[in-house]
Parts: sequence; structure tokens; C-alpha cells
Amino acid sequence: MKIKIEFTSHLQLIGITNHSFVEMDGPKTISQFLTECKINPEHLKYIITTVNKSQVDLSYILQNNDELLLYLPVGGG
Amino acid sequence: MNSKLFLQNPPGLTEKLGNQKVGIAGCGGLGSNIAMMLVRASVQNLVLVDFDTVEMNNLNRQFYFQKDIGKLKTDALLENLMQINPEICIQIHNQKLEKEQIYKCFKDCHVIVEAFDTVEAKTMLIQQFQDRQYSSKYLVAASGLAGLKSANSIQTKRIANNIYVCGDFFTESNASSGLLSSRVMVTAAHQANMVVRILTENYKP
Repeated sequence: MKIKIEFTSHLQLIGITNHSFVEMDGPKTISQFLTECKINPEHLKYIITTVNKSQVDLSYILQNNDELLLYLPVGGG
Repeated sequence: MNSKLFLQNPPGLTEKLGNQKVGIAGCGGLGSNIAMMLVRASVQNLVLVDFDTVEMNNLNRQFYFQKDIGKLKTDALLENLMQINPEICIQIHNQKLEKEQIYKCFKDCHVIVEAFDTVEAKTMLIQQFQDRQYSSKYLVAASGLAGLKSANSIQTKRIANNIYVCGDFFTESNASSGLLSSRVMVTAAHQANMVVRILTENYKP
């Protein structure tokens, strides 16, 4: 299965290029996917995840052709 | 009075904006300036939430003046907005917004503006929009407005069906980046503009 991924540029995901398609070997949750990409665990506390423009939890199971967006706000206001 | 105040508005805008309510969470650099711009655009009904008081170091970018130092931001902002349009109807909540109170505070608002300064507060408010009771509301948030980068790096992006984010998405506020009025105002203007576009249905979902 394949998903499209986009993320705010201060996030670092090992082996993943921003605005790219990612091949996955089977269904997995967003949390599992991000852990495999070695996301900073501190970022997981504050990350906003949307799939196909709907906000979802980290427990959401990614489906073929999903468009995953990861948004981590930065401070200042 | 309103007819002259909003003489330069595009036709029909004043009537559309006058009947709707906007919530602003945080009355600092973003929130105070967004409120100012919305009132100038003819928004008449606002809900303002903040717990802080005006300090001297706020005056480099926030819509407050020397006379306001020491006052609650919500009280000072109300006074300053009334200087633009005395006919506005503003509800204020002098409190730190917790997630349990968000819906109650903004129940009647069609659009809510996230104008907080901390990552924790920003995330808390955005996460609430996952709940179905927010499905008919819009959120206009901000992220990345510090530093001295080009104003052109600031953009408005739709991250979910009913959530927009304005900013460069990258430059956080810290001791080295600082907070400069021009970039804060550009971001606030993006947010205010998005609010007006939502209220007038002048956007493509």
C-alpha cells in the first residue's frame, strides 16, 4: 500500500522525504509509522495529524492512498 | 455612524460581517491585532479570552498603549476597540482557557481564532476540533511568526476541512529570534483576512 505524506519542515522523519509517496508493507497506525520513522518522542505529544483533511488520532490505521499531514505548531503569538 | 465608518468596505461586506460572532483565544501580539483588524472590517460581535495583563514589553507589537500597562488585556482591548467602533458588542473572559471551557466560551462563534503563544495551548485548541460538536465551526490558527525572515514566507494553509494555519510554520519565538511587530502583524493580517473570507464564504474549501 502507498500513502502520501506532508509534514511541517521542523519535523524530522528518518528515511521520509516531505511531499512524497511512501510505500508501506501493510496496514499500521500513524503512531507505529512515526515510531518506525524515529520521530522525536517529545513531538508526539503536540503533533496534529490529519488524513484526507480530517483530523485523526495517532491510533488511526493508515489506508491505501491516504494523504497524511503532520502539523507541529511552533511557539509565538 | 457605521455607514460612514465602513464606507470603503466592498459592497455587502458590512452587512455580512455585522451579524456573525468571532472568538479570539489569546489577546497578545496576534489576538489584539486580529481583533483590531476585524473591528475595522465591520465585525461587530467578538468573544475575547485572555488571563494576562498588559506589560511595557508588549507595546512593541500588541494593540495596547502606555495607558494600558497593568490592565487586564481583555479590558484594555475592549477599550481600544471601542475607540474604533463604539457600537461593537464584545464578550470578555478573563481566564486561562482550559479545554473543558473552550466550547462554552465560543459556543455561538462561527469562527475561532487561535492566537496563543505556547505550543501546548495551540495544540490543545486544535485538538478540540476533532470533536463533532466543532464540525460546523472554523479554526484559524498560527504557527511561525518570529524572526526576521521575508514576510513572503508567511502563508495561509488549510490543514483540515475546517482548520487553517497562518505563518511560516517554522520560526519559533525564542531569545535569539525575538518577536518583531512587522512579522507578527503580517501573520495576524493573514488570520484576520482568512476569518473575513470564511465569514463571507469567499474561499474555496
